Amino acid sequence: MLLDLEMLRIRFGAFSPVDQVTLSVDRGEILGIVGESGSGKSLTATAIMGLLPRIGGQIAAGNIRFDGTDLVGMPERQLRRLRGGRIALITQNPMTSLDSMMRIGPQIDQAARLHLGLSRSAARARSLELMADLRIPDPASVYDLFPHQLSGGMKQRIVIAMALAGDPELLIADEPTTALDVTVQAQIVQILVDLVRQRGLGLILITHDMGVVAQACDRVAVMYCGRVVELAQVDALFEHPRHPYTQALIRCIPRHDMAKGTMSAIPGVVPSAAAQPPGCRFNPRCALVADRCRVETPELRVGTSGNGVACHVAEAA
Amino acid sequence: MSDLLTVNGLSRRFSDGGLFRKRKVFHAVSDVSFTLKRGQILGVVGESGCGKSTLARLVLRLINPSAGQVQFDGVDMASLSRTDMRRLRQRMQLVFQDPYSAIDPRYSIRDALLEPYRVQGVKPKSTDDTVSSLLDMVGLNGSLAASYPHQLSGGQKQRVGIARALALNPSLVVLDEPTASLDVSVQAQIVSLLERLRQELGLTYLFISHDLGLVRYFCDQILVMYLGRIVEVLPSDAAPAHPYTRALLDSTFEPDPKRRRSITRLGGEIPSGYDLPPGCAFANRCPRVTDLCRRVLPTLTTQGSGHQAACHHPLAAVPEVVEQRSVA
Repeated sequence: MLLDLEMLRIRFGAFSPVDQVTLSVDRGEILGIVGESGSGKSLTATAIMGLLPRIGGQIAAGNIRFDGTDLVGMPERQLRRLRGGRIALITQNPMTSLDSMMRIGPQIDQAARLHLGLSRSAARARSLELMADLRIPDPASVYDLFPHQLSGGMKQRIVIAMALAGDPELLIADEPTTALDVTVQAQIVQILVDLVRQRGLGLILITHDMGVVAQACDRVAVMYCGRVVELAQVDALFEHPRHPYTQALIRCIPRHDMAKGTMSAIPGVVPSAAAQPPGCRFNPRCALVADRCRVETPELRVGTSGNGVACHVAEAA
Repeated sequence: MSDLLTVNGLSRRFSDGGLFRKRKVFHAVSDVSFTLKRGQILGVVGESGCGKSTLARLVLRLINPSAGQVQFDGVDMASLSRTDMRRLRQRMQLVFQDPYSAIDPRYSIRDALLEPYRVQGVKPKSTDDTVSSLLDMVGLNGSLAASYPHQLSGGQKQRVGIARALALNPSLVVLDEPTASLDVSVQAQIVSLLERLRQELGLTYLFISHDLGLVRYFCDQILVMYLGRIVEVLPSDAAPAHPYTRALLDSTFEPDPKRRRSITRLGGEIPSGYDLPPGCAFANRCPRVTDLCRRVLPTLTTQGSGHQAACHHPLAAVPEVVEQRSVA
């Protein structure tokens, strides 16, 4: 496995917004992490990048093994060599990654010069090549532009080029298409899928969009309130979702072939980090809730198939 | 069913520059015509910058058109005096995309719900009853009346936004991306609420969205806009005739891994609304483009019942073909 998370717990003061997270991604594989706001998917990405201390959090328990080495407790100097190099991050808003005062090209060059030790001219050649790979029209002129001169979709491609510049093995894309129009979203998703297939990268695709998951991912981790509630192959997840939350989430998605008036919502709201219910965190909203769910926290048990579900009711079925 | 809203040749241009720079004209909405029947849900879809929000504001006369007219229940809005227009506004309301900025953070929920009465100079019989029945109508607990917006979740705030829009008993509600900033489970709650309210109150909706999947589920009829013009009007279950609608549909991922899309890459970029090409605005990106398209602007022509497309080379009505597994 390229990346293995085992029983990860993230702590902010007295709260643990992410707990018992176990998941993995291999080379050439796309793992989707889905969940709604507050499910802990972005925090998990932040933890993998080793950036939790920057936002006042810490890893309280568990391991993050990257290519066999545990990143938890690794000195910042070593982490810095991985970050932007072997592990790269693509964020939702391209402007959080781009420096608006700097021309496009040199921003892409940076990672290659820093992590691959390339000269200025070699880095430039490599950036132009990457831009062409990402189907950016006329790379040589775009190289000299400033970010504000590009459209949103083009900026997101530049951010992907920046992420690829350090020749990463693991790419984490946190809602990479959420801010984009659908036709542009489709192009960016296609680019990411092609990268994984052609270069053998491991990709963690964090999204709240079940359409994107169905289109691109091989395996999926569904998160709710900081826990992985279901881990499954993408086909199995959509055909036979096991966790009641996954089932409800799939029924929430509008589809044109649904009869009007049949969309079903999940009653209630996601509890805040300070008011988590005891037992299964989904129990107050669950249609299948049993007495046991209100007291005992279900654990995610991952079988040999790599699939698993954290639900007393589904396990008994 | 009678027409509640008739829009005829509606256009809006914005000009820019002037004193020291060359004057430039931006065509936000061009020559838009449609009718909306009482009790119907009409969806307006298109990508950012296609003019859908400007259209919503024109329909409500929050901005004035450069040309064309809007008739509401048979009355031309341009002919109304300020007082009459203000009175008419009770019957048409807007629900905003961003529930966070739509409600004044210093207002309690109670104040926010009573604001429309204050603005219109209408005195509700009993303010307490009015507030609690409005909250009840949108499925919120009456105890929230004393809360402030920051104490509510996004979904709750959007419910307040809807309750406030319904306070004065409107006939038409314009919904401008009402679920775009919400999670999908919350979106489903809001959509179900809107469906129920339409039934109970006999409302007519103009529903603006960029989400074709949602629009096809929720609406009866769909307007597809591209660069300020309607390129297609179609019943929500019809196969598209315009290549742009087809491309939009092909870019919308179904929540079903067995129906993965082969992504037909749209070439080119959306032209700027400042200098529109003489022919079809979609020509530079269209797979079916011919010389004719670049020269002559296509007009809306009938493709079937309730179905029109502005295209010189419309797609034949074929059932939707989905390529299997073409991405992997």
